[in-house]
Amino acid sequence: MKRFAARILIFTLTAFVLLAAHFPVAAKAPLLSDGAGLLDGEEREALDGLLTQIQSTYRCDLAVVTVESLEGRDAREAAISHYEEGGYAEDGALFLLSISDREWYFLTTGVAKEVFPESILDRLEEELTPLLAEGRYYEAFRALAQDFALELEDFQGEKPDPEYGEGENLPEKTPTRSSGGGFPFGTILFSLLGGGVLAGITVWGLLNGRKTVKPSREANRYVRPGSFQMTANRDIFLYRTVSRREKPQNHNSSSSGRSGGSHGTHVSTGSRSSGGHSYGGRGGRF
Amino acid sequence: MDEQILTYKCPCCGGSIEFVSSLQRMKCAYCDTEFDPEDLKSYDEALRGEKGDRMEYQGPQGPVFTGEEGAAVYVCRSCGGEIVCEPTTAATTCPFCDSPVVMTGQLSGDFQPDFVIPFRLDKKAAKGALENYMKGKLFLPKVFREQSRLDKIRGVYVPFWFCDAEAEMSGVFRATTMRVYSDARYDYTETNYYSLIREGKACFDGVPADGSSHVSDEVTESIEPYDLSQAVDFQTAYLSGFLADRYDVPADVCRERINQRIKNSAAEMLRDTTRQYVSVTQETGGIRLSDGKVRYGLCPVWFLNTVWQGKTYSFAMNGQTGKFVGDLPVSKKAVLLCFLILTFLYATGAFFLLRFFLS
Repeated sequence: MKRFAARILIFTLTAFVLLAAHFPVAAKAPLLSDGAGLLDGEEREALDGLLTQIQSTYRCDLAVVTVESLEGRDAREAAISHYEEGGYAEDGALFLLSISDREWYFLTTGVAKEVFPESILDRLEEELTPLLAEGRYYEAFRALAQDFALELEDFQGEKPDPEYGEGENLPEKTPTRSSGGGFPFGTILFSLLGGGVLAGITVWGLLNGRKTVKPSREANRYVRPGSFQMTANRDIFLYRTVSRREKPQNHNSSSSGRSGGSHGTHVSTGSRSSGGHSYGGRGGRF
Repeated sequence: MDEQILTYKCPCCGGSIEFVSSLQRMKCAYCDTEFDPEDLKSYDEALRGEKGDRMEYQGPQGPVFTGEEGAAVYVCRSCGGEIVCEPTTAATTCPFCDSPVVMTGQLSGDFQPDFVIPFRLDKKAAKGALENYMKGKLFLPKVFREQSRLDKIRGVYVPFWFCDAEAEMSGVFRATTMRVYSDARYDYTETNYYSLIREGKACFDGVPADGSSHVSDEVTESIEPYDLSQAVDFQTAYLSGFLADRYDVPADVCRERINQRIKNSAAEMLRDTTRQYVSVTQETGGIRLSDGKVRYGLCPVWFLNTVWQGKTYSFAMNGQTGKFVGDLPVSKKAVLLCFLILTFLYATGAFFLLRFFLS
């Protein structure tokens, strides 16, 4: 019986894991999201290929997101929000551009935060701001991607693909590692636990109702109808106790207001931890 | 001359209490709780006046069963074959010629039942009820569904003792009510303690207990009740074709079980009158029976016993009302296989749902 149970258990688990492994969890959002419509079809395709190439070569995500408006949010907060919701890798960066606010933010995390210190961010800002101001968005994004790859190359010592350079007609390359995706351990574990609980409830329901032998502890059904009468019914008050508990005092905590938007072209950088990640970066206006 | 000595005890902590003249109330020296003298007197009188149990019956108790050991041997009048059975067996069938046999000596004189409830449902109905009961029950070992097994179901007249009595019941309960209120600074909880005096009476008719040690009391209690209005005067003719036992558990032993059931019912009836209180605990209680009568009768039961993995599983059906009971066994192998298959299916569904909603 034990050997039978062990064989069935191993078979079930193996079958489930093999099935689940064919469906790795991919990154939620694409690397290029042109919500503001700043790029045409060819430019989007070229840039997307470039970003994918960087991802596969350097195992680091660079995402480019353009939006119509920040909708009143701080650019840095919006960039963090996009990055976390996008399910990108722990090592990566996100360039957020809001066309109506004319604001941009380059967010870094993990290795990218080390690769882009203040000095390199200064250089990046000097390079990108004029291009963005002139509306040459594709060139700006391509320059960003190239700088990103070069800095990572220096940092990691990886040699880029020989055809890499212009960013067009990118060679097909199978990703060595799909960052942001991979073997879905968490999803499998959660699914198995949930499946086990549901299976347990189902089996319990099927087994219910199999025990019908129940001894009778009382003789209520043998009471002659109408024969029960109360002959004495008195309630005597004995004593009273009162206990009290002091109510918790409400302390007004001063809520820290958000720092206002930048009034110049330069937005101060800073590290902020969010959900276990530490972020760096630089923002500005154009 | 006997001196009656009275001491009042604190209902809260059990310590002794004194009258405090400045308060004009009784006060406990240990917990400082104060009481009204009149309320305390009533409570104390109720506790002192509580009567204990008195549960006696009149009527045929039946001669004391001497507990004969060994088997009884009879000779079949139809074929001359030897019939070996329990000493208490009153009706059976000859194992050689299948003729119904009634041992009249087991049911005569002091052992004669007062009445018998004849079988209303036949063997076909009993088998149908059993098949219906097992229908749709997963994880049931195959042996339980085999037709050859179901054919072994037997009709048995089981000896029962039935008790009638008028009961006077009493009880003293400790109960509380609670009130919660608050002001700007505090939340208050006010608890009021009461002593509830309850007394009542009720009549019990035909409370049964089976008088056979071969039959599980739990099984016979599960197939209750029997409708005694359909009982008829005992005649051996009713037993022919069925099995029957005379009692081997005397009435005074069965009465213990019956008395406990009556006592539990009495306590429940009195407690039902205290539902308006938050918490109720019984401090004292008693029951006194009068006009107690005992009757001895035979009641019809269809039985099937199946042994599986060293354990006996009994199925029983009330031969008068058709009520069916029986604990079904479970094949652990089948349960485990089902659990794992369901886990795989549910987990697969959950996995794809998670991917869909998270992507």
